[in-house]
Amino acid sequence: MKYIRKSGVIFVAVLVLIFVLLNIFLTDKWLERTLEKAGEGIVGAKVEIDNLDFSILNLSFKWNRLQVAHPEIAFKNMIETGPVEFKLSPSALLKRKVVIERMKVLNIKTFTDRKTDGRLPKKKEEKKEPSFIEKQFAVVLEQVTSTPAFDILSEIKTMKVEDVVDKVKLETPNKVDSIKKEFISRVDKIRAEVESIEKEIDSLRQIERNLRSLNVRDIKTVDDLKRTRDVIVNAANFVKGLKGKYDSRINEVKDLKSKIEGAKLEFQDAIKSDLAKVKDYAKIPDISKMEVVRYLIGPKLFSYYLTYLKYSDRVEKAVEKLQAIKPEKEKKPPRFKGQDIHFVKEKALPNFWLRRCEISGETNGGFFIKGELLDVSSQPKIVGRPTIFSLEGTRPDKAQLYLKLVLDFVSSPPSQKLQLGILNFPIVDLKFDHNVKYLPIRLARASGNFNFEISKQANLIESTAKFNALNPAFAYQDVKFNNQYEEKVAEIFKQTFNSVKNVDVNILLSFKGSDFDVRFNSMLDRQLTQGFKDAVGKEIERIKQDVEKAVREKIDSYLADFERSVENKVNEAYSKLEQYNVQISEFEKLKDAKLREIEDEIKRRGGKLLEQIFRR
Amino acid sequence: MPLLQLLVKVVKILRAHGTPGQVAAGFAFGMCLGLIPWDTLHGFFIWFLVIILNVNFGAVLLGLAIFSSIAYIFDPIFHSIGYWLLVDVEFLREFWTSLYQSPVIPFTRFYNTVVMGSTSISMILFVPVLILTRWLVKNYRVKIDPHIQKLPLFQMFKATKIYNIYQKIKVLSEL
Repeated sequence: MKYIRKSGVIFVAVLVLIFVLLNIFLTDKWLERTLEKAGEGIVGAKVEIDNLDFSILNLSFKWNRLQVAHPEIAFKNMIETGPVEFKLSPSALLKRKVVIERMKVLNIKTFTDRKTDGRLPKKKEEKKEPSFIEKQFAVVLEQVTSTPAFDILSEIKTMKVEDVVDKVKLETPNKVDSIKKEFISRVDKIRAEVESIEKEIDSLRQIERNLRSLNVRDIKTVDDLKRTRDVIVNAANFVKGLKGKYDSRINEVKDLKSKIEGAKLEFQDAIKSDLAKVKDYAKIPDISKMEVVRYLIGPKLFSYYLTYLKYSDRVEKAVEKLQAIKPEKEKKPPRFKGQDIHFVKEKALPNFWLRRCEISGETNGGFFIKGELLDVSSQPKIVGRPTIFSLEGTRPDKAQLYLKLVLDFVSSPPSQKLQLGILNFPIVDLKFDHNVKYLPIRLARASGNFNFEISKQANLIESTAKFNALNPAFAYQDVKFNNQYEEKVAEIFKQTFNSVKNVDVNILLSFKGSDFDVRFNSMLDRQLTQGFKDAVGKEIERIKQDVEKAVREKIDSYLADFERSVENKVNEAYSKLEQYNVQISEFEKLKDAKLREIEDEIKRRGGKLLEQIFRR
Repeated sequence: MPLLQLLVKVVKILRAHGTPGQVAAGFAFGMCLGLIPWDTLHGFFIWFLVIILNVNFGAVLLGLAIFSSIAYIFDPIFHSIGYWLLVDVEFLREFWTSLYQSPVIPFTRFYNTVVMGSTSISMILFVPVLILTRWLVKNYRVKIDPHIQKLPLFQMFKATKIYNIYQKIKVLSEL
């Protein structure tokens, strides 16, 4: 007893007693608050549990209602449930694992009203570099929210092409100027060199004249002939030197000429880019294929895609981290928090495992739903089965709903597949998210089908969406149009939409590594594009031509200056050198002829001399 | 002021209350409590031991105060040591996996890098700290304390209000 403190034993006994009493009276409240807080951490909005009842003896949980507030919309619940019941496995809990064999969620409802604002103050999120998919979607969203084909309509009449061209900073003039500066010193150098050759060519001309006036027969003695021959040979050597100079100059000029040709190609590219820039600034659209449906349903659809992919990516990464055999070391975990390393082993227990959850209730769309959620687990590799969520719903008006989500984090690489369908459903007031005043703002009435499928495995994503609306009635906003073109387009569009009996849209989306492809196929698009062309195709073509003309006019003065100060001078030098070439060739021919003449004369006179000697 | 209070406490613990062994054990347990996060099963167990065993509680609080501030500074090192033991040492992986799947043990949160790092360091330091503290207390009482008692500065301090307050609340530290 020497080592035991009596007062200490009493103190511990009192503590245990207090703990037991607190457990009896306060556990339910404490657990309720803890679960609510954990839920709020995940959802980012208020989570409220009503009347939680926890039995420590059989480890069962029960509550009457759960409200999960919408993180974005005030006074709305994202999900509300009726009674929920589940039981924890005691043997698993002893190992600090939460295993729920069976859970029942009754009267689940979506998008219900709530009495208080359930949004939580937004935490400052760390600025993360957007993922590749987010970047791609941002580009597509930009495409479907900017509508150049329609923006130009209000300016068709008032657009001053010259003003547009003045406002755009053209690249070509600067390019022409800088290349001109680069060439001009070389051109001057070559011209100076050509001038120096010119003086020597004058000497050549003099020699040529002398040579032409030379009559071999007039030379009296053989010795004089030989001397004359030596003079011609010396002149030939001078011309040889001149030819060397000429060859190097002509090569330089040829090189410069080919560089000028290269520069002219660069100018063409710059002109093309300037034209595109100006067309872009003037919002001149390509109206060959407009994909109006893209504007109509694109923004909503892509925001759904992005939300789904963002969350699925988050789940995938979290699960990957939880079941990593060798997790990467966190560089700076918060003080005293450290990093949890989870030791995954087959046929063991995961940290969390909800084996089966039965769900029933009603959606805000009035579907009576029934479904189940199987094998939700923090470490699916241990469980060895994918998470499956399946749901079916029906409505008294025979509309049907189905949803199947398979999250397979067991196989490597992980994969997921979502199938969603809403069939035979009457559409009432389906709003479109767009800013195009010529398009309907909502689908007032129709009956439709919607089938959607998306599968994701590593960086391969494939999705198809089919939307089919029968006998649609569209509603338009009251808009004041600025000119007759706008009115014309609006009228044609309205007629097209009103005449359509079946709106059929197929959307294909795929990511393969860094390749992103999205396609909208719809008969409606073809009709609308044709209507748009009929209404304003000619005017747009005219603006396009005017813009091109104005740009070319502006650039032409620079090109003419370039031609004047570089190209023409080079060509001039080239043609002079060509003339010199002719001159040198002619001289060489003359020289050869004269030399031959002298040689023949020497031979002739030598022969005569021999004849006289033999005769003697 | 807090520094002075700490100094008085240290001197008081060293001087009289409990045997050197009780002071040393209290200080070593205090060290463990200072280094290891409390929301672990073994953290609770150490508190339990400290309460029911006849160790010097003042020394426990002193050890706790000193080592909890050290723990804050050394937290990244504990994280690294813990990560190394849990992830990098391959031959221990099987052992950790079986512990992770066994009952009760996971409540120690041994799989957390900071818990593993700080627990390992505490286990390594426990015996040396125990022996060293015991030796220090013993030697202080025999060799140094008589001289300190005679110091005029200490005599003056004994006459101050602070010392009187400490005398009144010393009951708390003697629990």
